[in-house]
Amino acid sequence: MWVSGILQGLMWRAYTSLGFLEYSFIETVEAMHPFYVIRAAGGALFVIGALIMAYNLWMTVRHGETVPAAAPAALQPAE
Amino acid sequence: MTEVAARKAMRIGEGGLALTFTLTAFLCIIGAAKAEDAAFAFHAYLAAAASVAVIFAILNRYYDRPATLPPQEIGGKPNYHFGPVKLAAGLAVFWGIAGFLVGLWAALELAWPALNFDLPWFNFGRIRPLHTSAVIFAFGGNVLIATSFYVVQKTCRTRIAGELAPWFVVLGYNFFILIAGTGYLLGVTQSKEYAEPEWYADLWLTIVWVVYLLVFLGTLIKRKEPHIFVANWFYLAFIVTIAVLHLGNNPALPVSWFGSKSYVAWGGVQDAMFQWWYGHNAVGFFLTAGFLAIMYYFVPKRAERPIYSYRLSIVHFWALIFLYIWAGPHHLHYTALPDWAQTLGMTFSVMLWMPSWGGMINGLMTLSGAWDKLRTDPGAADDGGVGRLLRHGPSGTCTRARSAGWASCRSARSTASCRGCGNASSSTASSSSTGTSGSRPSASSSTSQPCGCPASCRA
Repeated sequence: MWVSGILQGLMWRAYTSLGFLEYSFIETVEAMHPFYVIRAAGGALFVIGALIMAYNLWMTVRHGETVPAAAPAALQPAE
Repeated sequence: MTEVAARKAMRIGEGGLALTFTLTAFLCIIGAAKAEDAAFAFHAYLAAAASVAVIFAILNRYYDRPATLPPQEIGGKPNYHFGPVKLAAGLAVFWGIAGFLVGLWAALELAWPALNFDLPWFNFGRIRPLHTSAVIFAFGGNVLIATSFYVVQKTCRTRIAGELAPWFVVLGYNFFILIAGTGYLLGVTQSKEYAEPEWYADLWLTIVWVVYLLVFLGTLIKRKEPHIFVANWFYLAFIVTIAVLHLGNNPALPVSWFGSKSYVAWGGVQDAMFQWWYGHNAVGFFLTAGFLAIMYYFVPKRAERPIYSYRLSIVHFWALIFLYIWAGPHHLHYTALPDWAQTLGMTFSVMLWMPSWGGMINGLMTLSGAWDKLRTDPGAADDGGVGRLLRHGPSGTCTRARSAGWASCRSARSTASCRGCGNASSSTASSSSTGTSGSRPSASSSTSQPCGCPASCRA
């Protein structure tokens, strides 16, 4: 989306040699479309990752074993 | 059995809460009956139902519990209270998935707008803030409540303060999320980013947050460990500052006590300044201070090493607290906010790279020499998912530091653009306030694009 922002900004401010805007607004919107699709794909990866986390958590809760208490670590006094 | 029941008396907290929620339930039903708009009626019914559920839960708990309070210690070891921690952790996972799903939907709507089905509730303008707030406040908020209740008990070696109070914080906060989330979909908003819930939700959150602060402080006060570990400093800063921000940004007068619409006390540029003082520091103290607290407990714990520099942790704590609170105006570059205030915010934002890197360096150096643990930390083998933290902790630490450094750079208002010229700002005001780069105005002033300012100003 960082790249798409640069593309969008450059398109907004592009002029023809006669001083007219080179792109209509809707053209800049259309140019964004592939990036929006890519972002949605990235979002889907996020959702999948979160679902895997939930599965992992659930299986941990179901099959968790008690960890023997660790020996107290040597503490250093705080400054 | 009857003797036990006879000796068991309802405590003031239980009885008081049950009575309070009985009263609340009645008030909510009256509110629903007299409601001016459908959204307010819906929220009043939700609150009434939740109040009744709470009354049942309190009574049920009273009949099930033993006559005496749970002991503070069992066999010389603190009797930690992890029930609310587990609930908040589970809710964090739930809201996380819900928030990511809504985010995916919002992203798909941008690519294929028809996916809003022409229904007002699923409009991009409602879905998008629902996503951001769900991930930040519902997912992140539950993570922070869960870990803060865990860490403060462990590092103070004492049971958390209060019996019902920690449950009240977790359940009350999640009820706020329910009100806020459904409010987004129903179009209930006071039009302040990250502070969109209306006055009644704000009031409820204030109550919950004060109890949160009291539970946290109460646990600190009865600590068995003489020193207050640095993670608790970060948690306390997070709780106190969020309270101050919330109160500062949200004073509002409702149009009717039976309606959802209210008007914020501040107006014009003062309102904008309050809003971004809030918005910026919500990020600073929710997503930075709170999550640094998590880092300062769990990274040393899992690496089984002391913090690299405890002194650095204190120094960058105070640097973060002092600098962050000033940086809000960089969200208002090129707006009606006075130039000096914009420059002030920008300067403090640039200085913010120091505490942000202080935290990163401390986290990474704590792991220095223990990097093999990233491979060998037996996440799956003996303690389930918790051990995985080490694998993800450093990358999170780096990502946060990198993005904070990047934000410091992006906060700079371009010095080459028209200083003192208000006209040039109008076209970019909206983009600056949403945090996009301030470089566009300078680019425009270097071309022949008319910005409406006198030539002298551009030189």
